[in-house]
Amino acid sequence: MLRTYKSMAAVMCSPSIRIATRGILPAIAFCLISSVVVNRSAGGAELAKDVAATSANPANANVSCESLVVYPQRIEFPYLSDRQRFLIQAVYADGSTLDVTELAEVHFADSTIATLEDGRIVPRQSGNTAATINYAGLSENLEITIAPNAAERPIRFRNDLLAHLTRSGCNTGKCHGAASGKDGFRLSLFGYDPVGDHYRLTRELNGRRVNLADPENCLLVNKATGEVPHTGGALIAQGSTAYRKIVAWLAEGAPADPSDTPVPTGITVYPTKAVMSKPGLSQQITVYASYSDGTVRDVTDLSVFFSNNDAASTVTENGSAQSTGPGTAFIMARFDEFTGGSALIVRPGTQYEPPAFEPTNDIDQKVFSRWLDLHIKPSETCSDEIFVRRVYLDTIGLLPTAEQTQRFVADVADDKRERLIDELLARDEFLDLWTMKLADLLLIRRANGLSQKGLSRYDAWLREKVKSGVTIDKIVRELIPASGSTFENPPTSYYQTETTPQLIAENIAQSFLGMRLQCAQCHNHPFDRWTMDDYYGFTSFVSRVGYKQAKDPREITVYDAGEGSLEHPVPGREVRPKFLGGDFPQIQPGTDYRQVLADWITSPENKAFSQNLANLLWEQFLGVGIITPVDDVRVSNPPSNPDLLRLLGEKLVAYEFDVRKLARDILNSKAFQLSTQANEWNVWDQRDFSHAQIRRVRAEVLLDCISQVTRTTDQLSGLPLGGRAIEIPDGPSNNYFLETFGRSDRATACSCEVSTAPTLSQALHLLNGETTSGKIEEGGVIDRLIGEGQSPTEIAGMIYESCYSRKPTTSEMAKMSDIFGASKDVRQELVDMFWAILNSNEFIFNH
Amino acid sequence: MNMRYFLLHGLIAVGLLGSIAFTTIGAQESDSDTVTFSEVRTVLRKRCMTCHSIDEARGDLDLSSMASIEAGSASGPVIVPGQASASLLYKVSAHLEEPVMPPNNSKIPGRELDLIKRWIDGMVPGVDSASMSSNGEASAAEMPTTVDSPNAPTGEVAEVTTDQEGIVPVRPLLRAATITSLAVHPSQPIFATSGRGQAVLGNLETGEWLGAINFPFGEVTALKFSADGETLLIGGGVAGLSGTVLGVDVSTGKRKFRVADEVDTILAIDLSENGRLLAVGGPSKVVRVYSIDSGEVVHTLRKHTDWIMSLVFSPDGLLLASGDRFGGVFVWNPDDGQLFHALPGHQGPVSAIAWDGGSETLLTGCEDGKLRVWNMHHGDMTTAWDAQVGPILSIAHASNAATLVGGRKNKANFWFGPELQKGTVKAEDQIVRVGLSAAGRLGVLGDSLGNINIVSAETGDAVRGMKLPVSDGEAEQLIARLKSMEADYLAKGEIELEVTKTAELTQPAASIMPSSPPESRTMQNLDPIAAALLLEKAEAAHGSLVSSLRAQQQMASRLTTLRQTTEKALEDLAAAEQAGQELLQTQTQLVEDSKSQLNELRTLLGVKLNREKLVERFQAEAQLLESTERQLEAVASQPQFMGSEELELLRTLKQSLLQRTEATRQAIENVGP
Repeated sequence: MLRTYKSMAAVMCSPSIRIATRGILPAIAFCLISSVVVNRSAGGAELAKDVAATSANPANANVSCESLVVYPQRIEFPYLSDRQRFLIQAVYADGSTLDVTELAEVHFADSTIATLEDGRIVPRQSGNTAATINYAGLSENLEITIAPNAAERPIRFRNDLLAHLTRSGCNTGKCHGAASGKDGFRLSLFGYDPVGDHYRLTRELNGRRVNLADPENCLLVNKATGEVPHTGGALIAQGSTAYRKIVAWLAEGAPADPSDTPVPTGITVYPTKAVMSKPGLSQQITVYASYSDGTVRDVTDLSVFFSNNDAASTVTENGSAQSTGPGTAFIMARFDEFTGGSALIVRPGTQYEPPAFEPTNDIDQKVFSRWLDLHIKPSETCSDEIFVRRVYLDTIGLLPTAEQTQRFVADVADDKRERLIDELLARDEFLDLWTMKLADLLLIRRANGLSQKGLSRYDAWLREKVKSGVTIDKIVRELIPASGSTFENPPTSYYQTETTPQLIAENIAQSFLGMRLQCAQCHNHPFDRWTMDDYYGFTSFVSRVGYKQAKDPREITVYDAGEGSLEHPVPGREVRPKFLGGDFPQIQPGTDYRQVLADWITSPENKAFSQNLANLLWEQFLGVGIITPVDDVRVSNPPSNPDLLRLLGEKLVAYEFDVRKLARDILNSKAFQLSTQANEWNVWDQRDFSHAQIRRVRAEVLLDCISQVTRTTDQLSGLPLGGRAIEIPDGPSNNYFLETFGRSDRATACSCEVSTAPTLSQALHLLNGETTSGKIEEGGVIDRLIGEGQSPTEIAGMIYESCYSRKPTTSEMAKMSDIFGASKDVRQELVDMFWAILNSNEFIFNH
Repeated sequence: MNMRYFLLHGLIAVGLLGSIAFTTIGAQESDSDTVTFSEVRTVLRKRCMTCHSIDEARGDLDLSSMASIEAGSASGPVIVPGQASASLLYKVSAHLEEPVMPPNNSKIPGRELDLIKRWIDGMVPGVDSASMSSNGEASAAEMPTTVDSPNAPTGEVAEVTTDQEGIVPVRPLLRAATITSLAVHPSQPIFATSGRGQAVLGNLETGEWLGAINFPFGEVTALKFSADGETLLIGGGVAGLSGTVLGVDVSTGKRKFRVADEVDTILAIDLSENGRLLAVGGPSKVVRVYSIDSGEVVHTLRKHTDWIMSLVFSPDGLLLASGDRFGGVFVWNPDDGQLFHALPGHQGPVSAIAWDGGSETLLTGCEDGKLRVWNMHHGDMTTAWDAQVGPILSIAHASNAATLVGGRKNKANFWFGPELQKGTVKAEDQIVRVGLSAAGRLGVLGDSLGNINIVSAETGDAVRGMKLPVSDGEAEQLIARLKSMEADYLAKGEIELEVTKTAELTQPAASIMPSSPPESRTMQNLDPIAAALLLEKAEAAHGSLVSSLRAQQQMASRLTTLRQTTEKALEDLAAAEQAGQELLQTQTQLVEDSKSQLNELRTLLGVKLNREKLVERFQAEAQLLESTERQLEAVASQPQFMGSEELELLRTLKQSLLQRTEATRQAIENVGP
């Protein structure tokens, strides 16, 4: 059986569709398409030892050093026992930077006030002085102030002890930070409850963990140093700073923090930007914490570091970033409840000439400037055949017909792409596709007693709103404060599918702001800025939703109960409504909290909302979000191109949330219209849009396309015969094909509900399932064409055009002619060919 | 290392191996090339025994005794005497073989690893392991003269906690610290509390400190007077590492026994009414009952699911009650180790247990704030009430029915049953331990700031307060020392993990051997008491050296005798060798015979094997045939999926399969049954 198909597959290997992607269906990749996987170049991983002693740019000796940047520019010492680091960055003419902290000469104007030891400034006495920094003939100043009456910094539990324990990893989730602790001892996860941690160390088991009678021989010290068996091993060296702080604190009686102890209010991570000219260089990252008393402290040694992209740069536990390959990396630092980061760009280290690229609009400009930073050259603009297929799939979820393709390709006008885009955006199918995305966000599904009738009304409500031109901000403003019966006011169903305030608030944040708050329910988010206080403050907005049964047993009434609040897990902490990353709003008595929330979320000033929607749209067209996953906005997952995201958000606001207008801009950009074929200058790029992404067509669209090209219809759940899969109103579709190909069942707000990951069952279903073979026979396309008297090669050409939006290549045609000529059953050969096409990557991928 | 073991060990080895053992002894004395089990045990205890102890023998490996090590693990033997490189214990520790140990951790320090290696390498193959183990074992059941040096992690504790017996001066604390244990004498106005590596005795009536008894094994965490008031039990150890119980004579402070060898400290102890059984509990989640006479474990009581926080024998000695950190309370028969009652109900650590006068009613206090009373006849709870002190940390019960309850809300209350509360005592911090004088007239309360308050049970009014002496300036010295470490750090950079104080701990016996004189550096800085103690130590060391010399002389003469017997034995051996040669020849012939027999058998067996293979093949072919037939059927019913060519192909395939199956069947028949 495979013989025929194999020969067909060989035909399909046209040079124009060599697909190099992560997303190839394994089975098909094996038997049908010989894919060309381009390996990322290993490019210059050798260490730049030659950098030292010379001021030349490590990648290009001809580029001169233009300026020096000192981080921070002034240092104030509140205490004599503090030590502070600083960073010196040399900025070169080509925009690259180099950490020259250890290479530069540093002179102190008054060494009785401050000196330099081991790369750190040591204060000697109160007063002011300055350090002069010289490098490559350039000079910069660093102001140093030592506070009057500066004394020793007192040891504090939260600021010193806990910081050291956190840094040593004691309170992570797999150790003592676990909910039930570890080996009989629990600490709060990442130290969210310092008071509780102090209690557990000193009082929970009196005399066991700390022993003031003999501090150096107590369990805390012995376990940390590994002197007694410790599952976590030896974590703190005897005599190290952490050791000295812990023992000194014990020697002082292990006191709790006095109520006036300054608490950290935020951190600053330096350098703010670094452009490393090649792999193999290092850049020290430093972290400064601000405290509630206005002081600043170097907490680099107390911070935990991690990189979001080890392929571009790794980071040591001491905060030294090491570039490993071209790309961007965000080096994150966590201290106390704060997470911050430093954006690093690593260039490939090869000779780079800016490419000739004409931006069509401001979107292109932002993308282009990023390429210049990263030393990327974009791919070619894609062919008309590729463009027409791509833009149809992305805007209306259907393939262009053979006639549509022919007409477009034949058009010689310069503005033909622009006109096609306008034509497609004006079609209802664009809104259908957009409605599907919104329905995913609103979690429209039958759950928790939501009846078929309720579901239909909910779905119809959304469809009606979108069709009549109501923009997303207005839809959300109607949805969030929705009250009344689920039948009369369908958006109230949002409060029926989930009923716990925590889940509702998490869903709202994830769907509309792209933020995942879940972690902060039980502990301060370790990789983001959200604390438990933020979580409960935000959740408070939906904590007063009341429910009662309506007349119809399938119906419930949602109302504002006007009272009630949540309990903070840390005893005694106040919970009142607080905007995420914003203030505590003044709420007039009698106002529905949800109204306040809806107004805040959808306000044009709320960049999180507009940028999240813009990013969603961008992802739909470009295949990867500027922030990806789109619903995981966090400090440690920064946008790949912040300027671009900002621009898109501003545009959406300026267009009053009319997605058609923003879609038009994106589709008209060259960035959207690039080829998927990578070149040597962008083969490593996955996040900066220098070549198009090859994407598996999402489940609903794929089924619609198969039905379209086979001229068949489906009976889909909740729809009349012939309804399109993108219009299914419910979460679960009860359709094997859709489930196998990863349609969202809308059970959670996670963007991962929609999956385009390949699985074996997808390959098997396409190979043997009824969706391909069955539909080919059912639709009778081949028989009809034969009946019309078309020759086998003509029929093959038509199938090619309807599925691939292109004609067969000469070699494909030659092979097919051979097969048809030698065959006893040409019809069977044609059916086999159609089947092979539906199984091919060129069909199931948008490229 | 104690000299007595040494010699005993040596003698047995000598008895077996003559001159080889002699050099071994020499080596032990001089450069410690051979390592003893007790040295290695320090390492095993520290690095391995959290998971491989008698209580938690993961992989069926228990490293707590020589015998259990020899018993091996689920993966077989863990040591090959004389060959560390072939021993699993060494290989996994040295990360030469999976699974590396300790799991998910870096290797243990090289010095410790080397100790294990030398220990195994130094073992002599074929030596009766039983005799080795009885020698190598630590001295759990030995009498006080054999008390080891402390297992303390740093040299510092070893320096100041002394072995000196008897009533000694109270050692000042670095800072006032929480009272971890407290016991009131059953008849005299004396109480004991935990000091710094000491049990400290105080007088209830006068408020004076009477003196202290050294506990050279770490910190004191549990205290108890025997029912007759003659013995004080001192339990403690190094948290997370070791625990043991010392029995001392209350009047003289002299050591009577040392029992128990735990892998974590002791949290609860009690001695049975007749003084024969000792019950011990702690983080190991089991209650162990020891015989005082033999020093051996008689019962290990396993039912608790969390740390044992409290335990007590009934006044008649017939029952033993224990409470754990998870709210579990169990009553046992200490004679046969059987469970008598399980008493569910508490929600939280059961911090204290007491018997209500007789042995029929049990009182339990828990951090859920409640006191519960249980009837021992039925095992039912008769009453429960909130003691109004917050989470309960300690209770004491006196013969006049008074119950003193201390808790986390900085309070203690006197209760006379659930209805009657008389007197409340307030403290500055949590009341951690309480005691009642014999007649219930005075209450003693210890709080987490280290205050001891003696109050009148009648009124709850304070009678007097006591505090253990705090060393003058020691805390400041420590802080200064830390500062100088900081200066070091500024000069040399941050200290990396790896350089740990482990070095001192694992230093072979030399540092704690009697032969090492006190270092002069410490002499100059010592206060008079410590100096006196050091002098005493040195004297003791000298004494034991002298006795060791005598023993050595004795041994030398025994060795001479041994040499003579050995020479005689050598002659006998030569004769035996002759006989052996003859035997060898006969054996060789036998082997030849059996070889040809074996070959015959192999041929026979080969035929049988061949048949089995054929049968297997036949079955496989039959299956293939069947599936081909099914496929044919399927194809025939759906002709649109398959060209006639494929149909033909399948038919041919079926035909050839049929032929092959037949051929195989034929082959099987040819082979015969």
